[in-house]
Amino acid sequence: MPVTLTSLDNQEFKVDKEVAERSILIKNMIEDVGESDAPIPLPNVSAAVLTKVIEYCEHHRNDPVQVQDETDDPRKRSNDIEEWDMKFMQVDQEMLFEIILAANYLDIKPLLDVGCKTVANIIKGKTPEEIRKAFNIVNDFTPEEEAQIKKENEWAEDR
Amino acid sequence: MSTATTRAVDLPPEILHQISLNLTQHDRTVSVRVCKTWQKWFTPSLWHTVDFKESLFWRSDQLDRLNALVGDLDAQESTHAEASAELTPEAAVAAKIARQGFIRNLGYIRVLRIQHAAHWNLFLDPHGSLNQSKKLDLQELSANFQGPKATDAVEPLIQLLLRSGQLRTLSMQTNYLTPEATERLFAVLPQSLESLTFISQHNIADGEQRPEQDEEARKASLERIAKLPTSGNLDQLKVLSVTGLQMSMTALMALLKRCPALEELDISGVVEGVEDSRLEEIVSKGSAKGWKTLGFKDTWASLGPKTVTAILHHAGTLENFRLCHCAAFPSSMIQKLLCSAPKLKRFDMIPSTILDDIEQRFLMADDIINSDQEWACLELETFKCMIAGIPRPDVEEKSNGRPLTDHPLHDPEQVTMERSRGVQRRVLAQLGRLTKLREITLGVDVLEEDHIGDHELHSEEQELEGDYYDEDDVQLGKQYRCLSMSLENGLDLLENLKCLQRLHIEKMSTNVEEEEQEWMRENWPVYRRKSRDTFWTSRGHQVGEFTDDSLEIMEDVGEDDDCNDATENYGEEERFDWW
Repeated sequence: MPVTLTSLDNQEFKVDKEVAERSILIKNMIEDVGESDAPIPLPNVSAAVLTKVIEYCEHHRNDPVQVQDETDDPRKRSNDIEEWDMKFMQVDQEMLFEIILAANYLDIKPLLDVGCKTVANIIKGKTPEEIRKAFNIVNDFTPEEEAQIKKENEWAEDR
Repeated sequence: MSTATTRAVDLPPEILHQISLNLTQHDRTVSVRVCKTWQKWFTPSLWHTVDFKESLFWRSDQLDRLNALVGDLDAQESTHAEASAELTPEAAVAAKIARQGFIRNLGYIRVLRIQHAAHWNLFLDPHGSLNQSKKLDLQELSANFQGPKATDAVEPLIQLLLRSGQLRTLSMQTNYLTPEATERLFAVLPQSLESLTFISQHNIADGEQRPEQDEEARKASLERIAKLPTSGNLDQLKVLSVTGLQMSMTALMALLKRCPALEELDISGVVEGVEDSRLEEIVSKGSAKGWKTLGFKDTWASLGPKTVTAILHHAGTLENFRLCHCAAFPSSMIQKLLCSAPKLKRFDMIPSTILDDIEQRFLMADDIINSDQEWACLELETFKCMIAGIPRPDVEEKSNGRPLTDHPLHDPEQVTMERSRGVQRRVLAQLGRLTKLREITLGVDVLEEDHIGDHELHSEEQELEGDYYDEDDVQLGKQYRCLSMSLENGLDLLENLKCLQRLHIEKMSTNVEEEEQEWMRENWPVYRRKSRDTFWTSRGHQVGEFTDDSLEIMEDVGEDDDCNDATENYGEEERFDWW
């Protein structure tokens, strides 16, 4: 049975229930409301972003449900991103952040993970100046402040 | 979202936290320098975990810098004296700033691991810059005191504990501390504690012994700490782990009395002066709710018949049980435990190598088949126990061709194949009922040759005499009176073990052929999925010689190399499981 989703800008999207339920938020809504034809409003997500999110859910419709790993050791996490996901995430930065926010709101953990990993991969191995460039950020530290922060924190680094 | 452009600086904190989890510590130190907003975001994750093992201060020259900083460098006393160079003005400034950073960010630290006594100097407060009353959000603390000034660290630790009302996990290495200091530490344990570990290694290297402290300074320090407030009952404490024991039984019993919710206990190492009857007291009185977890490792003779009986009294609540390198847990008692522990999930019986009497450490087939009870542990997921005493007339010789036929369980004149099959099928029928099993380990690994009795296991000594001795053909510790694991003899009775991922039958004389391997692949849908229960190893139950690297390799072993788990030889990395 298809489900209708309504975006922030009032566009309607018909998707398979199975696809829509990749979103735990939607899944819970459907469970709470029961069988209904009424469209599900998603006032936090624009049509452009929702299109991308649905594309992701369609592709991953048959993935096994992720088991929450309780001993989630950040140091053991892999930064590998599947090839399809990597291509999927090749969007401009604004869209990247919008997708992450939408994944967070809609509670689609695997998509949120991929989004966060993509951002992390942009940061990795760069200098502060390179990061500023990559994210278009203005440096609001004085050189003295920056040097002080460096010294205060650098010993906490891995050796 | 809003119509305005979404930028990296607009993401909510929980997402930033997730992003930072995917960064290395180095990337975090870079990220805090990007701009003020990023500094705000990434500082908490940068300081979330401070592990001195991995940080700059672990290096000896850095330790000395740190000592110099608090006016404490005593080149004569320092174990790192040879490495200490004159502190340059630049180095002193760097150390000072680093310390400022540490103090400023103390509030962000959730996990703190301190390795060396000198690290505690960070908490000393010669310049009054540390706000001693400010509450901290520490959740996990690992406190070690290695080094010449161990007793000096007690005060900073007590201060830290008093400020850490959220602390859930505490691990302390107590062997460098005086018993008074240790007992004093007990008195200030935060009530939020859920898990407490004492580590006390007995083999401290020479020159690293507990230092003799200046008598007067010691007295003054003890007087100061005696004035500190004492915490009450540890109502949240569920897990207590004790490795080696350098505290009095009285202190331990007093501690147990303060932990009404205790349900998991791990004792490893030689517990001096703790006899069977004291261990019995701990087991029978230690948990008001009944034990969920009991683990004993290397406790040797302190675990005897009285403790075994006390353990059996708790069978009803037991979920995890492990006996590793301990003295007697007789076969009939193993059988009794399996018949009376309905909640049991993990059962690890790792034999002691010093016991000559095999019935004191292996489960004997006779006890299973002569019992009028069936195993009650239908929830069991991990079964590790040697099942011995199986008649095997089909096995005629040990490795290197040493004949076995003179033994009643191998002599075809005394025992028929039919009888052998009957015994094996009845044993396997018990195992076959445990349909939640994920791991079965039947084989015996790595027995030290000095301790192999001649009753059943192969011993090298015997072979040295003979003409037929061939070094490459000796299989130390090999079992010959064991389950054969062939289809003919009852492997088919294990067909309902649909969750079984591992069958570990190292060093056993089995008849596993192509046909059996094929059967395993067909009947066990998740067989050889790589997954290993780390319940005990995560509690420090591994042997020192195995490094983290071998653990990694072990985790990689699996799916691609075809089904050869049921063979007798393993690479080094596979052995980890046992020890």
